[in-house]
Amino acid sequence: MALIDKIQYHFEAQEPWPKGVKLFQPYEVEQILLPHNANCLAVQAFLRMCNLDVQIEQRPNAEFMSPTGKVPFIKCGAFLVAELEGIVTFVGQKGITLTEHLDSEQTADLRAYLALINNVLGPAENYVCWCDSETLINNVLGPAENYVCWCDSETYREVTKPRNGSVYPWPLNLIQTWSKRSKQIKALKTLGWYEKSLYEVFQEVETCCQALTDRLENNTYFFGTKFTELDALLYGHVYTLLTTRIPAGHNNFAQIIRKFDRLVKHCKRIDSQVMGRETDLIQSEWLQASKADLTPAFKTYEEDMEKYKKIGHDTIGDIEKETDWLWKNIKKLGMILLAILKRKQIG
Amino acid sequence: MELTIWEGDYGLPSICPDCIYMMLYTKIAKVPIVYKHRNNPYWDMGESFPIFKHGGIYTSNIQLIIGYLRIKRYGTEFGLSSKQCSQSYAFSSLVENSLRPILEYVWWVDHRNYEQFTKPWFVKAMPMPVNYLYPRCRRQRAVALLASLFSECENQDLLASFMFNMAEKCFATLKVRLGTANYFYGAVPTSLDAMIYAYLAPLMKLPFPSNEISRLLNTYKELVDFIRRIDAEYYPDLKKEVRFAVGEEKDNSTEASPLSVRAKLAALIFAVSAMLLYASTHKALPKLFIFY
Repeated sequence: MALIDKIQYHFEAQEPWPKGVKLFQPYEVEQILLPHNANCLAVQAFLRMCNLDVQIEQRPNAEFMSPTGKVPFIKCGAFLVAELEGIVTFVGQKGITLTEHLDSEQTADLRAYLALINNVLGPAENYVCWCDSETLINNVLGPAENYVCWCDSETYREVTKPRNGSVYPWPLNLIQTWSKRSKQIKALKTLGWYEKSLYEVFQEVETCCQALTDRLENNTYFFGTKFTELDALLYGHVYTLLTTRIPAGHNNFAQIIRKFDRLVKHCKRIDSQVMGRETDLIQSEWLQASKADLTPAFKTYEEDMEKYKKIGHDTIGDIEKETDWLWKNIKKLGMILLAILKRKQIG
Repeated sequence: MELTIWEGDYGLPSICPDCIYMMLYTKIAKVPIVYKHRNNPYWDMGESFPIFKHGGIYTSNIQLIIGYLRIKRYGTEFGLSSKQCSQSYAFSSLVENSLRPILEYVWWVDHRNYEQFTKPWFVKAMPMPVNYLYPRCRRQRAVALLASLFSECENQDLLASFMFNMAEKCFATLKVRLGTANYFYGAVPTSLDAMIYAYLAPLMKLPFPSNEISRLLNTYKELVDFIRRIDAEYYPDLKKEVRFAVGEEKDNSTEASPLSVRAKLAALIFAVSAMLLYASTHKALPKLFIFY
């Protein structure tokens, strides 16, 4: 993020938008994770709103190529700019902006709501992606055959292998996944999200959606009839949450958002007007069918929530178990090494 | 009801922004509550203040406290429309996202401020053994927060300029939002006002040695007036005097030298005891004495 400033200092010539600008992101089908997908979509939507041509490049190591360690990023001439905020500033320096029709009070609002989405939906996605064991096993995870030789069947159900390990060869995928996960958990801990149960995460998301709906009212977009980067960011998150199947809480993330009709409509509008595609976001048939299935099991929303509460608490237990298991193995390894050293000394 | 909070100093009701926020929130909501000033969070079985106690309830989670007070019919946002509530929520997350890291940076991460102001203050204000421990732990927490929010954290100059830019943007946004009104939503303060006061007042009142951001804040007249207004309304009898003054430069140097001697002594004792322990566990102790 600090790179934005670096660019501001070194940016002298304000050239028009060059040709052949590339947008780098992870593989969309095999690799990309929920939070990354949301951010990539938001940037794509923003660039399309500005009518800027970019060539989308999919790279397995996009995350490590990025100047800030976050995806997506664009390469424009000699500059690498990452994340929506940086790209908006960068494009703004080229004289292209979506917010010129706003007055100063609306700009203040825009910044506040951008912060709101980043503050609530971002960590919520990270939480589901990295802290919820169910998601890690079923969705974010690829096949676990590599694990069979690594640990016993009981552990590998708890230890998880996310999609982001899928592009690396054998030992690296485990190490990379493990280090990334511990990093994410540490970040969530400092932000105070790690202690939350899944139920509380859902509550946060619901409050956030409610606030956004209240702000949107009956407008086409947040600030009148023209779209801004706020619309792009919200589209990225809502679209991803609606279309990705998350096993956590029986896909309840999508169901929470579906309760907010205006948000879904807003997302659909951008999908057709900006991205030029028609995705069935409501999935009415699927919803009806599943509703019929679900009614006996989930009678009221409160009952649902009780269930997630339990799941949430179990999750934390699982993670603790897993770290325990790792610690034990590290200890074992240390003992073996010591034994080898001693034998050498004796020899 | 009881709220345990940090001691105040330099004309602040408390030295911790979260405590200021909770104090002001309860004052605005007119909660009958007793404030207890403490200077050692470890004593109260927690690592952070404020701690809220009411009957069997004992928590330091601010969201829980506010939720609990709302159940008890104490709140600050009952007069707002749904759109205003939504706006206030968005602004509070803007504050969380930018003002909090700025304050953490100025207070704990900036090297000069930490060495010359923050650490000496806490060393003086807290009781003996924990006063060296707490600032270090707290600083680590601040560094972790910045690292999780902004990935590039190594280069100090870059971080400083980034923080300055962020502060500029944030102050400008708040100034526009506040406009010419007394408080953010009309004539009565809400929780958003309490939150912004909690993060801005320390920046304005504490004498940080490297104070670019504080000076920047002083150029925003509306925000400074806003802080003064809340001071006059809710803390009219707050003492401006400094209680745990950070000593002069000379005092610091004299304090530093016995500390280093103490540290050396501790190191010596530790080394000798470790050697003896090793010798005794390897049955070399008798040999040692025989040899001499």
